[in-house]
Amino acid sequence: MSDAVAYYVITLLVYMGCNVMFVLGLNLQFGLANIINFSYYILVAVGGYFAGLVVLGPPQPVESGGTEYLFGWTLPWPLPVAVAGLAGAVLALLVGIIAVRRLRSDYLAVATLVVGDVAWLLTGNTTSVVNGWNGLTGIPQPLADTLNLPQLQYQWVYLGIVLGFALLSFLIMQRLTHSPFGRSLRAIRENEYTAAACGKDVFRLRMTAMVIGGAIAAVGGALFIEFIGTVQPSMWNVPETFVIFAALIVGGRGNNWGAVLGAILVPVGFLEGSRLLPQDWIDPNLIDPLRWIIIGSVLILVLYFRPQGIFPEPKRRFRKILRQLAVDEGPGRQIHRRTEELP
Amino acid sequence: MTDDLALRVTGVSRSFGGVHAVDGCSFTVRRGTITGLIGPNGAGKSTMLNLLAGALQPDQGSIRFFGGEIARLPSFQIARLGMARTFQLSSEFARMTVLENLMVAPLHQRGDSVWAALLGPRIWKREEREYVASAWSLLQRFNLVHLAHEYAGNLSGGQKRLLELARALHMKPRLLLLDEPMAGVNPALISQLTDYIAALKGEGLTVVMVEHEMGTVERLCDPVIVMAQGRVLAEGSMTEIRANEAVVTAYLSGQRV
Repeated sequence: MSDAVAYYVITLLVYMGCNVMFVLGLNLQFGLANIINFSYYILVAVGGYFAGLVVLGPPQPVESGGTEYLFGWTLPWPLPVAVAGLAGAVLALLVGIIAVRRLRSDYLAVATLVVGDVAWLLTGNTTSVVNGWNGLTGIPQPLADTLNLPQLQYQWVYLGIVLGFALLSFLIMQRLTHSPFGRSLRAIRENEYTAAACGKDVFRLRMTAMVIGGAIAAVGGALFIEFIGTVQPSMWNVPETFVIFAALIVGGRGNNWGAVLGAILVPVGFLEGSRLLPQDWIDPNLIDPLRWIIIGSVLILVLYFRPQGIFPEPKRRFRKILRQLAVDEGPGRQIHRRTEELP
Repeated sequence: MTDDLALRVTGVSRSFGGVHAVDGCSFTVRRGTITGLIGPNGAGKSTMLNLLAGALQPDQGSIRFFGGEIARLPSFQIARLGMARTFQLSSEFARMTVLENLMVAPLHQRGDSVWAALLGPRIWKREEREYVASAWSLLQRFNLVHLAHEYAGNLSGGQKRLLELARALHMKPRLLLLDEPMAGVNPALISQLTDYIAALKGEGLTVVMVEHEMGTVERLCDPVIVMAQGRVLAEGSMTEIRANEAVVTAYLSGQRV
């Protein structure tokens, strides 16, 4: 493998690992708790920004050609990732208080869209907070000094870190999903009034999903920013949110394996894959719009023909417990099997 | 005899815009009874039930549940105090199996906390097994075992009614609110449901039910509370109610007061 190919493969895999985290966080918010959060991208972005703000060192005055931003600390890794996760959790809490408290899910979607847009415009138009539309650049690579490796080896190590975090997020999500907590979230998704009548604190459970999902998204954002070394408002906007939604819907809402598959297929496969389209076939100017057309078409096709996604949410059968209880499942079991085989 | 009361409703009102849906209602529900709530359409029965369950908040008045004030509590807190309810329209968790629908119901589950969920099944596995066992016996009681792993959304209307009742019972409530449990249920199933509800009374559960099907009310409910235009019109056994001229005019004969 030549160095160029190695770099490309690493970039693709880091990109994949981060997107897996984005889609997993959304699976908690949207897949399980049914919070249609169209401001999801600001949770990813806040992680990226904070990861930069706490390592960049003191800001320089604009007069001498520097940039202005908040904090300007130099925290050692992995603290920036922790700060980013915390920032994502806090921002998710704020969005949740605004949008989740009293709104039905369709209004909630509109409210979060507006919240996201406000946050985006504020970020871009205030230079003193995070340097406005130009964003932050020159974010140092984490642990580069400590490890002191040749660049390519360092990239492999960094890839390992990203995949480690993605795996950790996956395991956390699996525990949450396959627990009574996850069951309560799904119950709220199906019918929040019945869930409340069953004693579930709907607001609190939804806020918990918001906050944990926000933290996972922000940590993913931080790892992404630390890899590419720069963060600007133009990187994350409403279309990026829709890509993450599309990934989750294509992969399978409510299924963490589906979230992983969706992250590999949609943002990595379609968005990055379209880079590989032979340039002499197509006008290069068409490639970018073409990606969005492809993603939109895939989403429509999936919603038409397989709305539950490639990996649908699994049925919980309590097999082990039922076997331990040695209950008689009766003839219904066979009847049930047959109905399942129907197309 | 406060000790004897499951519910004491005093001067409860609730209006929607200019409509006084419930207008100064007062009544009591004794422990261990099946109390029927009847009245013409628009009498405020369902609103009353929603006020009791906390799905709606009263504009004024007091509701005491086994002595404790619940009039301004949200529905999930009232549920946790031991009040279970069914809904007029089917309200199953459609994309969850019948068994899972029941598994949602038990109150104070350890695994419901996010920390327990993160720490893993060790914390909640034992409890989960008990809930599966109790859910299974409810499924047997309501003849739903063969549908245990079917999505609740695929059930027929009558089966959904049974599931609603089973889910409410899995909360191990002290008081059960039933909102027209017989609506849209075929005659054979009505008699089956009637038997189930009668059996619940035998187990010491207090039941409050809104029902239009007078045969069922006659068989099950004592006492019966008659509501009309947001107020309590009469209270008593079905025999007393039948003898009450105001009730007959307002409801049983279908004429206006």
